[in-house]
Amino acid sequence: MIVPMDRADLAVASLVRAWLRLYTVGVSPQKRERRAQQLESDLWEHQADATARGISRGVTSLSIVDRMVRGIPADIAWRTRIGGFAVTISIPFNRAVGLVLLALVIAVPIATTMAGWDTDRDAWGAQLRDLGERQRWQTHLTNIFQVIAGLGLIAAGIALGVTMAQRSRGLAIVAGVLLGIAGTLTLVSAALYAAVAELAQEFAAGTAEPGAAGTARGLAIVLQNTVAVATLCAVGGVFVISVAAARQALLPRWLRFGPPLAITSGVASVVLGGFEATENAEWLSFIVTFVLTLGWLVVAGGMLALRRLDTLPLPTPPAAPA
Amino acid sequence: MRRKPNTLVPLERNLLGAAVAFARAGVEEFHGYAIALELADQAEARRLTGHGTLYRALDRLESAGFLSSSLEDADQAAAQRRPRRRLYRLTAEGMRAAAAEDAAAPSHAIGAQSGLATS
Repeated sequence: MIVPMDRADLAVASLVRAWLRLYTVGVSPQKRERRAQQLESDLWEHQADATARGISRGVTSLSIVDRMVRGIPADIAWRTRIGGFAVTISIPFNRAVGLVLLALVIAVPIATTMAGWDTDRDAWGAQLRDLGERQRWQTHLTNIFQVIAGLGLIAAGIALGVTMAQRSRGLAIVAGVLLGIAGTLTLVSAALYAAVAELAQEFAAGTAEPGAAGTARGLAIVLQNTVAVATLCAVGGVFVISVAAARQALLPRWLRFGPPLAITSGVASVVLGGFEATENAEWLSFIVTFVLTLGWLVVAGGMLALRRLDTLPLPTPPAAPA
Repeated sequence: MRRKPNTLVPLERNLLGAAVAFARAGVEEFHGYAIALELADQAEARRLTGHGTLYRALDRLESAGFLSSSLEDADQAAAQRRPRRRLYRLTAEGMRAAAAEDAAAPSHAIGAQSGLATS
């Protein structure tokens, strides 16, 4: 018997198979194959039975999705019982770290561009009007990049946590958590940016409620501090990655000094910001931090991503005392 | 909640009951979808058991020795142009377990409520 299938039938079958692939990640091939055979047979029998009874395709598709959804708790329980969620990822360590670093080259500037507003009380009106007079698509595009940067940082944190864990477990967790926090704060900043941009549009159009400028300034100050913490977390994550790469001898010796220099320069920028007379020095140290961080990300990321280091042996444990 | 050892949860009791009903009707082997239909018939339910729930319970009954299973012949499935079925069969131990469950709770006698039970 041939069971006629339309797009809905195929889509539903694909959904069931996709869920199967997801919850059987890391399961032994025999167990996965057994479950796949059970489901393939069940899907076919269900559709054949429905066809024989004259049940409509839509009702059958809904019934299959219903069965899949109601079975999810049992699937998860089955998956948990047969051995946790250990996942083996075969991405070479150096390539993964290198790609993450290169991705940060894009994410870090996008995340920090939000902090460039002049929130001084006297200058804020002009700043808000300037922001409000931008085209709407420009603010939307900026917002989209910010969200991508935030999600990218979170993804980078997860990728590092998984790929570095085999070699440097402690450092992998620290780097992963720092990048994850940086990503989350970037998403928060994106939300704040959208709110400020909306208020700025109303302000520029003259339709803003009284006090809107003050609210926008408050949000902008929170946004700047959030971005500052996110940037610190991202730079800290990069620093931890550089320590791990140095321990594994993945990078030339001279490259190891980049992140510590950038952090020193960044701290100097913050300290100098407290003195009105050192405005130029503050600006200069901020630029040095920025250039050092980006330069290091490009060079180190490129070297790790492109060089063939796949055969690098895992670190050997120290010899036991005789 | 962790289950007590050597006890059957209601779904497993019902599956065992459906397997007994199949055996009494002379159906020695059955596949997963067939038993899902039988369960729905017994309960007069319109919805079939969820995929994960059904196959997890069938696997557990097989691990307990109450059912055995094997993949059907590949040629037979190919001749009917469908995926191979995993065919389940009630074991002697499964039959004893069903009888013991009946003795413990005669008002819910396994297999008694099935439309397939012929005697």
